[in-house]
Amino acid sequence: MQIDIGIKENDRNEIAESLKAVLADTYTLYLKTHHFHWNVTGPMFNTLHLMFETQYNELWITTDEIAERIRSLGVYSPGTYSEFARLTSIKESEDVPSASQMIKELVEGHETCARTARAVMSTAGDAEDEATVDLLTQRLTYHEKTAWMLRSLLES
Amino acid sequence: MSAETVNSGISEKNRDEVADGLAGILADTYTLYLKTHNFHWNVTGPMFGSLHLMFENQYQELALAVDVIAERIRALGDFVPATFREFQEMSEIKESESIPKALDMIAELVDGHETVTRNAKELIEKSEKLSDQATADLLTARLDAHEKAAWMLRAHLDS
Repeated sequence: MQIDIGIKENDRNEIAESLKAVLADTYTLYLKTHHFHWNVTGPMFNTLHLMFETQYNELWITTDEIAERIRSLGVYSPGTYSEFARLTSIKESEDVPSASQMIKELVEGHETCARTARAVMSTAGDAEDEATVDLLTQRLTYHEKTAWMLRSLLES
Repeated sequence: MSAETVNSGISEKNRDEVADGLAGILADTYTLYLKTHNFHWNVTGPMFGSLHLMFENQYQELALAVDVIAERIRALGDFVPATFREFQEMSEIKESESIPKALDMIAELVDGHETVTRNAKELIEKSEKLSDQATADLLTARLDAHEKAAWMLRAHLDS
């Protein structure tokens, strides 16, 4: 059925395509955080195990919101390992890094998510897709806050 | 302390064997979780309302189980595989690259739940032999969940 929500079809498709990258980054960062929640060791174990849990839960819940925004724009959502791996700018960690290396990787991941989200803002804004702009603004707030918290742990 | 120093009454060799089996169950469960979440997003047709909600209940149950299985692997002293590539390689469940029709989604999910059930049953027998009762118990709870989900999905396919 035709979609007529006041955003041109071209714009809807372009925004949805960009949101796929936001979804893939968020999903990849979620799985990395869950991975680190499981595999972290060392004196900071308890702090990090718990902090990573709070973070992976937030990221995972958000993947659902982003995917459903893509569907609301009339486009199917990616939902496989291979699509996420192709669409994301975040690299997975094949081995188990040290605790401080985990923190660094997660800071970089949150910064990457922030940059990917920011890149969609102007497209969505120009197309008057306020709902996407709002969603992305919330994502920026979250990623910048989490990056700050993780970064704080690295200072001596 | 390293993995070698775990002294919980199961030999290191047996712990590793169970943990390796659990890594396979984790990969199956994770792949089935993502497939279910994918179908929750992309299902269309007259059954949309009922499937979107049922898939949501199911992917949430699977996502919680993933954490329980992974933490059991850590408790046995092994690290947990947790990347797209490892899950893809280790899982017996294939991902769907295209978007199936609603009824095909249901059939694929039944198949997925049955696959995990079969693999879990095998590992229950093995972990009992190796006197890892906690793993056998965890997997028995998983059997219950998978057999129930498979029944509910299957019920939709009867005319």
